[in-house]
Amino acid sequence: MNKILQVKNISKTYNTLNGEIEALKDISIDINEGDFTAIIGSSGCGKSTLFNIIIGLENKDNGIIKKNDNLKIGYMLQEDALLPYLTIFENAMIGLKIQKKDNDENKKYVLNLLKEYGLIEFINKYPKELSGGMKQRVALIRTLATRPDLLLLDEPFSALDYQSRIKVADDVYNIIKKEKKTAIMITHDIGEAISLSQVIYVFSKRPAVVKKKYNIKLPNNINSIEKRKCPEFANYYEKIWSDLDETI
Amino acid sequence: MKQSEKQIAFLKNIKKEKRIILLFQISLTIIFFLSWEFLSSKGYINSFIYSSPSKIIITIKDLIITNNILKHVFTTVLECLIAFILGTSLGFGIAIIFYLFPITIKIFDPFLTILNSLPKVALGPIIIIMAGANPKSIILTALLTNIIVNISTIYNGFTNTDEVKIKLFKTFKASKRQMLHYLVIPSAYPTIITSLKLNISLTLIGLLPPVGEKIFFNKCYSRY
Repeated sequence: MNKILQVKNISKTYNTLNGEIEALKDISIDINEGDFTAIIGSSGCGKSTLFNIIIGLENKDNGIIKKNDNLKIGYMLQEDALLPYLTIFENAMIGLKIQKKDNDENKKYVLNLLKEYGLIEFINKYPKELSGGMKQRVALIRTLATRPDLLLLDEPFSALDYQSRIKVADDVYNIIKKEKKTAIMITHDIGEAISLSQVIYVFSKRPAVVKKKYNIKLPNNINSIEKRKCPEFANYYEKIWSDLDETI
Repeated sequence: MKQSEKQIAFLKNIKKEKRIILLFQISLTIIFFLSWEFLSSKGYINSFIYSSPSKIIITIKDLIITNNILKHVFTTVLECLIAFILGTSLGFGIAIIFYLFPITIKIFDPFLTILNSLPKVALGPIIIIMAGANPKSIILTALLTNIIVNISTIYNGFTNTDEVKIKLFKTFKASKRQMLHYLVIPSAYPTIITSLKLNISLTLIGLLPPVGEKIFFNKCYSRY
């Protein structure tokens, strides 16, 4: 399968007044085109640092990031981060506006996405008028609007309650699959990682190293809620739980 | 749409509460002026220093008759406006520079603290020597009174911008100008409005006696 991104032997150390903090140590991961990959690890282990390095917000100390020069990366954050003073349509367009690509064609594309994912009636409303799940969908559309080839999802459902989280995660997964995007998701939630991903990387506690890689083999023709009922789900869950347990 | 009795009662209660609040506010104002008049006329407070509502009314009447009131009000409003506009625009501009170049705030922070704690009113004589006994001195005093607070308030508004949203903008590769235009300034609107309100009162403190007009200039509203 075509590798869209290769992270090879990445290390990162932060300098602080209290000394050096080693965040990442010799991290290597491969991302296949069209795959949904999850990175799971304890809080503060350096998962977000890896995303920051991939998208260019932070510099790495060592290692190589191999990707196509034209690879467009979209980032979805832990919170919806919608701007309260903009309408839903304006929020969905903000990335394109910043990149000066808010032309008619892209406006139509965003309107189509909003229509496709049940938000067209809300385009002139403000974020406070939407539910948590709807806001997350707008946040995803805002990311998709710039037509990224690779999506980085940084604990995108952590702000939602448990039930909404499962439902919204399934929605988001379906949108990503329908738009034929490749995605990497950071999560703490083992169930979420197993039910959504084809590949899971388990990170150790800080400094993060790749502790284990799992190729998840669950039926593709069922939704993520159904996947949770499969017997293999429990096996994966147990293994990853013990991996994480050792890292705590 | 037909409203339920509970909803009607709820709305009625809100209206009732508003009426009670207004009634109290009006009553307190009347009580204040009546007490002031009473205490002044009976000699409990010195009417020369504290004046009285009736004396104020007589003075306003005299000013209207002699056609002088507009001239004095105009002078004060003009001074206030100039100091307000200068304070707001300079404060806003300097806060933007501090935000864009964080090292500048680290350098200037102790100086701003010292300037803010200075009794600006006491600088009156120095300001007269610097700018002369004219409206420039009055405006400068008012400006000195409002600008530091203005800078600090607006700058704090800027720095309180949600970090997650800043990160979002960075992922879109937003320039510093775009960050300010689409995120930092709109997010700081409530703080900017607070700063404007504060600026008006501080400007007036700088203008009104015994600070500005009474000290420097005899064509002014506050001399009365």
